[in-house]
Amino acid sequence: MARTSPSRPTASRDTGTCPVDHTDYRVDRPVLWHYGHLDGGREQAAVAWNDSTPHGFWMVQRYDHVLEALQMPDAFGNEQVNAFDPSMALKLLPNMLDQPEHSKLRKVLNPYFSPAAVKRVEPMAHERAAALIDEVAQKGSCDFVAEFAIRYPTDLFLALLGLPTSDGEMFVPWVEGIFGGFFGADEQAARHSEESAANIMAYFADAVEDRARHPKDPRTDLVSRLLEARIDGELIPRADVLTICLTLMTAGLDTTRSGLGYLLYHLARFPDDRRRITREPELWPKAIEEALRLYGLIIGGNGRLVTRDIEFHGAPMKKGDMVWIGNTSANRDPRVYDNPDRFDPDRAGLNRHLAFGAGPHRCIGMHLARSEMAIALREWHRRIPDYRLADGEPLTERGGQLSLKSLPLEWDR
Amino acid sequence: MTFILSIDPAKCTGHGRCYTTSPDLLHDDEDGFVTLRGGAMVVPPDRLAEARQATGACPERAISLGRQRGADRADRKDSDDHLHRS
Repeated sequence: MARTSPSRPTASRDTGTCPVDHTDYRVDRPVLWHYGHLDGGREQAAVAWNDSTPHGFWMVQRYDHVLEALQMPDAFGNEQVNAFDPSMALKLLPNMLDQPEHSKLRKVLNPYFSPAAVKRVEPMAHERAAALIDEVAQKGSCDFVAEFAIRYPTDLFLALLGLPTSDGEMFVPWVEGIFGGFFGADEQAARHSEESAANIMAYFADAVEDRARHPKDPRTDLVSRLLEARIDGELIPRADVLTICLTLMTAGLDTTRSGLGYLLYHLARFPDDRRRITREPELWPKAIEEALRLYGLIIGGNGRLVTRDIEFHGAPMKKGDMVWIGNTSANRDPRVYDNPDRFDPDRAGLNRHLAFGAGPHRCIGMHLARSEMAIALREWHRRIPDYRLADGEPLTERGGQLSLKSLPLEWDR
Repeated sequence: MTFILSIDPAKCTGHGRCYTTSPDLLHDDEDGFVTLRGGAMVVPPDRLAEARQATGACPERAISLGRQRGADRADRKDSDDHLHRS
């Protein structure tokens, strides 16, 4: 993976009225560090220039501006989507397509991620959640992130593609490897990321080949559908089918792990919130929305490529610049949410949070994520209603795309 | 006073917050979009609160709720199925 890109020092860069942020958002920090830091940036200016990477990038930081940018796909394109690295070699589909190609592929994929489709995998989600939680419940402690939060969506993803969930254990280190290099700042992580992607592609190549020989019902089987679907009269190239599988996996596993991790971290620290929801489990959907708003995880990975010179709220953006779309910062914007740092599942306007993005590229897995989280949380709290943070090393969160590195919990058996 | 609920197809990208928030008023299709996408409906008077909730739930601001004056008779006729596509 290429890690070098043309250097564009800020000294020679016209940043208009925008302040310059020197923070490197790709490195690990103490837990919750990012949110406080993003608050500071957002309150200073609507748009900033960040010079911590070789290429640099614009940061759009307030709710209204974030929504506006996401709804301007003509000016802010998807040919590159990693704000930290505009020459990222990893290809993602349909993420890195612009209109109209993007919506043609989304049309093929959407039916497999609709609420109706998600309902079909819910029995499997309950079963996997229950089995994995039963494994740890008797121990009285676990690292929630490693022992549950990543295993669960991995198993479900494989089930969704009609692949054996027993392959889940093999998959987890590959997913970690990809993300280490996707957002990481060093060469070694980049190489490891490339190897991991190659392993996953080889796995999918075998699985897809097998499905080509033994197709299932394309109405319910996504891979069979991808193999027969035609876009503008043409079959989707086999390499693109594999890239779509890889993309769905990288998009769905790390994010669900992260979302579950932050929510359990919150509920471990605030027993009153936990007791209220365990008393009234019908609150889970709202509690999940509020946690998604409060503990966003997408930072530089929701990048956009500027397609033409444009003045955007004081920022003189040039064609070829990268833009960080600040969904996570937007969701804590006090202009939209009163007391934004408070966890309040009853708050007004909660449905409008931008944790899943907006515009044509809004997260295709949003309904699946919501359902997976709700099922996991219900099953967990049915078995382990009370728990606390275990003593130990201070917690850290990964930069690049936020996620707790570990979450040691303990409870009375 | 008659209220019309309409959904801008250029802005609606299928978040599904409207039909999740107001399930008695709006419904999802097989692709996860609201069936009213690109259309408009007369809001039955007893459903106005739900229509307001749905409007406020859209992250894309794709839903508008507006008053329609001087068309009450036609609206009353339509309100049996209260859905007509534009």
